[in-house]
Amino acid sequence: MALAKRIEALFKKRCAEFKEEYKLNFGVYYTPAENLCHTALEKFKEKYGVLEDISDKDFFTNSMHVPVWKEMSPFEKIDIESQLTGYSSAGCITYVELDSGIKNNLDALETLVNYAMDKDIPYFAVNVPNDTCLTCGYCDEFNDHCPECGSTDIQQLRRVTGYLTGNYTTAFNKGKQDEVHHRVKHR
Amino acid sequence: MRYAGLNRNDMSAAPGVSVSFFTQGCPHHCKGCHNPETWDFDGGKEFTFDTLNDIVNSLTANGVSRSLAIMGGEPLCEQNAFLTLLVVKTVKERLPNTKIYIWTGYTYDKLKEVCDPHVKSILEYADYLIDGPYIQELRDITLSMRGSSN
Repeated sequence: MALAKRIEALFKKRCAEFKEEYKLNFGVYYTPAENLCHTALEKFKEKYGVLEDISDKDFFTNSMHVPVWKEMSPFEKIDIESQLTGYSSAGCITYVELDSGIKNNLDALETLVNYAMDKDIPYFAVNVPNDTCLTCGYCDEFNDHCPECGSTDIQQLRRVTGYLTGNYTTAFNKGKQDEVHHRVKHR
Repeated sequence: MRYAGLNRNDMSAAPGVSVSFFTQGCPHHCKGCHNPETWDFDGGKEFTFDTLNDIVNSLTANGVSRSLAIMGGEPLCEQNAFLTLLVVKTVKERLPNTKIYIWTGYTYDKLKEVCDPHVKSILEYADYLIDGPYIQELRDITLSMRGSSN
């Protein structure tokens, strides 16, 4: 964490210097890296090869996020990321991956949102699988078929970089598809 | 004593965030059961003093107050009633404000009729009881906190 803070502090300082020098509004932006997550990784691999937990997947974890495959509670994830959000003046997000049951549990949602606000998270998101049966209209989390009517004509939405872009298995690029597969729920 | 598992941040079981404790072993064997791996009384993991501490500590981890949800397996059958009582008694003594939810395949009337002393004490500690077996023919996945409409 000390190294992460040093890096973010350097970015923040440089932006402040550029702001003064060019009289333009520079800021640190924690990017979703929709395409960069994969193209930057390819460039990195050309130069440094495959390094465990760094370049051994098809994507880089973007922004200052906890690596998407690390198992931890939503509260622990907020604790870690909230230490870095303050260095960003141009935009950042902290999200947690949850089971779809949270949709029927407003008390739990309120607990999480209040926790994130208490930790000064400027922008907080909750990701739940959003699958819809195109035969009967039932919405929940599916594996490969609708649990209500058994149909396999289903649409599976996953929120990975802010957009609900249609079926993730076809609409996402290679890097973000691989990221979906590596993401774990925070429990 | 054996148990099936522990979910430290369950947001599907009960209102708010819960610690869900799954007992191991079940006599009901309901058709269409969601957790058939919890039927075998010899399955699951060994319950130790550390497990008990883990449950209590998880209830307030990160300064967030949670409810305790006990399911299974069958927490109130004779093989599991002592362990369930140990858990609910410890939790209510150490954290008296904790809400306790228990799921059982027995009906409340049946439990009153059998009148097991452990079960009687458990029901005094419990705040909510969701009772009755899962009945496949009455399956309704839109219901909260239970799988069938009985």
